Amino acid sequence: MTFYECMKLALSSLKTNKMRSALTLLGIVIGIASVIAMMSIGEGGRRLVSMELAGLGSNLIFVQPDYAREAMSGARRKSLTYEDAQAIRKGCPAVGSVSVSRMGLVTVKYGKDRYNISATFTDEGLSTTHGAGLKEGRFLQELDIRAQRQVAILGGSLANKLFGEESAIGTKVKINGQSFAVVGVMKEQGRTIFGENPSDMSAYLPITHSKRMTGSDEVAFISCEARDMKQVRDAMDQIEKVLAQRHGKDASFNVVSSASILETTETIARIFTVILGGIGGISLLVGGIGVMNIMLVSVTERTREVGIRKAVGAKKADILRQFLFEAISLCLVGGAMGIVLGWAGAALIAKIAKWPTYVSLFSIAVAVISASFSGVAFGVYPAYKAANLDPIEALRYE
Amino acid sequence: MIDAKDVEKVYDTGVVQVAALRGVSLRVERGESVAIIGPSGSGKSTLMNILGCLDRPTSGSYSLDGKVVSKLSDDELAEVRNKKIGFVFQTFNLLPRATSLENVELPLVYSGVQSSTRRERALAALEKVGLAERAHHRPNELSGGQAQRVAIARALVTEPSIILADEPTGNLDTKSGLEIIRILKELHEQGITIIVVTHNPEIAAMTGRFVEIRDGLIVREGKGSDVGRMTAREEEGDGEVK
Repeated sequence: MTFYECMKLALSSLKTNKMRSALTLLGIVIGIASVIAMMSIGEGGRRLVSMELAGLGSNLIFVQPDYAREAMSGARRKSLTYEDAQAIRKGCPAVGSVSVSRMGLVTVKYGKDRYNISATFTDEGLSTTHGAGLKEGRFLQELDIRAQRQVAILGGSLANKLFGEESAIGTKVKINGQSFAVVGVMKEQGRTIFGENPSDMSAYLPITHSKRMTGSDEVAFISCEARDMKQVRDAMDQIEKVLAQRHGKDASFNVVSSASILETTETIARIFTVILGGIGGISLLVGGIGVMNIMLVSVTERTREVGIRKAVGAKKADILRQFLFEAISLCLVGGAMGIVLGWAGAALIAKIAKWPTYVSLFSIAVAVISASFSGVAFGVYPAYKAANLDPIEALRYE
Repeated sequence: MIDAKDVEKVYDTGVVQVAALRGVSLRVERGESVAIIGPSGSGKSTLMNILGCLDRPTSGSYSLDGKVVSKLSDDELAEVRNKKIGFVFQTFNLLPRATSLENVELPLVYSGVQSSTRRERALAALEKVGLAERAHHRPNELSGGQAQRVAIARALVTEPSIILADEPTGNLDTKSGLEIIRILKELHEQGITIIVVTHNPEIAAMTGRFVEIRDGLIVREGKGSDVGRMTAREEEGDGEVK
């Protein structure tokens, strides 16, 4: 029997029990669809994170206190301060720019309005990345820091809430009871997948006010940009040297490049995708068991047919192939429909949950392979059972 | 060309061993027609299964066309059935969802004949049994007699050396039964070896020779034309033969 004839025979058998085949198919459709949709969630997340990290540039270097070592040894870690950032700026020729910031909760007051917000204490280093995000006015300048000026740049929605349509530039607001002049307003960033963008309700203040207003001038991290890609390694060495000079040789700081962070994040996101795919795979397993169940019923029902086929000369392999083709056809048709449904599901998730799902070629390959594999895996036992029926017994079967 | 020597068949049910055949020797020459008769449970179906290569004897030897088949594997037996044997069953055993033509084509499918040739040969076989115009009907659209004729066409289509018929008229009314007997007779006249298992003395009488089995042994043999007289006497005795 040719391949085409096998396929025709399988499909015609499946057609005689339309409802049953359709329900069995549904199990596979849902299984494959959930593999596709779940993987699209994982893959979409990975792409988003990767893109955002890549958007930062690949020549970034982050400096952090070694939190892990602190947690393990209990030793008081060395903390990073604004002075460290300044020292890196001066002492590392391979470093182009340095930005440093510290978050702190402050109260902003204007007239009767009062908002508790999370402010970013920083310096002019951030203006390279944030300058373009200004709606009006200017960002922090070197002089603001040096002269310890009481100036503030407000987030888009904060400015909107405080001043409405009026321009805020030049107005004084009270921050933690002290008077700050508004010198800039950021554009509104709009909503993100997590809701309102927190930077819209924020304010940028000179880092020199940090200690007085939040009780500390410790910073969580300093981010540096190497002059170009080739100097990333040099820049990291220079940063480590400067930190060792300032904090002693055994001071431990993590100095990592954005490239290695990107790599780690990608790895984690991939694992995440695989786990999500695995969760989808569970429903495929259930669907596959459904196929096996129906194939076993079908073999029992068609015992006599097997007997007739064997009596006229069908070999074991012929019967095996016949039933295996049925299971595989079920799984492949279900797989194809599942891919379409999964794709639609991914699009729906993207629309409703605002999660950037992405159906990758890889996930489709996984779906196709697992569909055909489950056809074989769950079809082989029933088919084997049919192939080994005794022709005399089978012919006598009522 | 059928040569069974001391064939024994023991079914092991796990608890007891049942001897269905206890040393049967039978020779059937090419072109002969033989009836196997005997009461239910006598072992004639078991003999039929062994002659038809559906089963292997526990001991003894069976050769078909000079080839020993009693030791062949399942798949080798399947090939022998496909090439040399045509079955006609009491219950027709047609595939219910396939048309007459597809049913007749079935043995050719398993002997690897191309689909266009298959169709031609199946149609020719249907023509032989006078059912060419029913080629595209399914078994449930056929009368019992027509279904059995389709089954005969299926047995014929591979041009086998033997046709084995197991109670071919058992499920048919008298008129259809006679039609089937006529066809079998015709086939025999064309030179095909026919072995019939039957309770029907009329069929047995039409064969050249009859073999009577009882309790797994051949108890009587004779010319087919004598069978009627002997079974009539039988009925007076114990009424075992229907």
